[in-house]
Amino acid sequence: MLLGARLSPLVQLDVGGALRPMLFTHRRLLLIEELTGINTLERVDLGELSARSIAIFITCAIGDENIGSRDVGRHINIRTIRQYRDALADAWKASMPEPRPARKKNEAPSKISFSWLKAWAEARADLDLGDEEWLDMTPRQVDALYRVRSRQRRRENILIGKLGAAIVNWSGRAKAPVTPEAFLGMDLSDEDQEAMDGPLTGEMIMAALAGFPKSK
Amino acid sequence: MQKVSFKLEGDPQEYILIYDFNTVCDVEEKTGLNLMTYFGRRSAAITRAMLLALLLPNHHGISGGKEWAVTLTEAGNLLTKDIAVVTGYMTQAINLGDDWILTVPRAVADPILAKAGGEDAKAQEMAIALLEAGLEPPASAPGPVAVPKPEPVAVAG
Repeated sequence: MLLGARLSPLVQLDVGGALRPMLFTHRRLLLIEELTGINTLERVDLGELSARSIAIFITCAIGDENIGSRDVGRHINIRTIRQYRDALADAWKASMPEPRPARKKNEAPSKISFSWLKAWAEARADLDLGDEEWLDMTPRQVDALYRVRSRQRRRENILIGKLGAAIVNWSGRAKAPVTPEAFLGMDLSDEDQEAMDGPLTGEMIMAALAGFPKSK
Repeated sequence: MQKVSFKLEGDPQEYILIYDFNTVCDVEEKTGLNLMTYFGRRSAAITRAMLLALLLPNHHGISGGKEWAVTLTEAGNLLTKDIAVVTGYMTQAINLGDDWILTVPRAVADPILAKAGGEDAKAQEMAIALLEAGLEPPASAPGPVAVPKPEPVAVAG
């Protein structure tokens, strides 16, 4: 069983009397893209899928090599189509990242395009994931790792800001006290503020510096 | 799978319609059309392709050592003969024995669904049972249609 299936809400579909778990890993999403031409990294409108795409999405989400899209199609009729589409939507939701907080008013939507190449490269470089490891993960799992990594980075940045401010303030040359925020180019969340207000210990500094590349 | 068979006036050919999801997928692949839109705002092209999908399960075979199957053009010709009658049979074929409450006009369906407790699958089943038991006047709502047992059909390729 895929680890992603353990870490995601369980979605099962009754196909011919047998319950089949459904999940969208990167490997399965790439296969869907290959078979349907639908860019699964973009926002996919599941309500607009064709009959063929519905069968392919469901078959790939089941991921059982003994079940093909025609096997799935055999069980779909007007009476069951709603059940199949609901299961598809639930599996999609269970596999995709948690929605981000709503954007501020008048804030332009992100124009950053996300390609499979970029997704793979970032997962390897930033999260140190191997190819197979990444292929068998859901976008939701990778997003969860990114969130942890992002929090670590923010904490490191805050630490650097506090360290910089401490050095300047203790140098005796500062005309006015410098705050750690002056070293940070980011807005502080409540969680960041908590880290900012906390103590600055030697262990914290050592831990942050341990992340820097070492000279050979 | 259930079938709807019909003949058109002045045409000796008997046509048999069968809703098979895999055939719908095949026709989508062949035509590049999304036949799920048939259930919403359908175009002539979608209607013709859906008719082809409904005809194909029965109207294909081997004749004179050659494979034949009904074509998109033949489906279009059939619609040209009597689009109202043909699309009526198509509706029957797609909904036959299935969740036809969803196709019942809302004015008829809503009060029954409300009595049954909503629009979820269970409520719909209850609403269908109510209608079938004659506990609710079906008014003009279409119900399961009695279809004559189809005879073997030979279609010229």
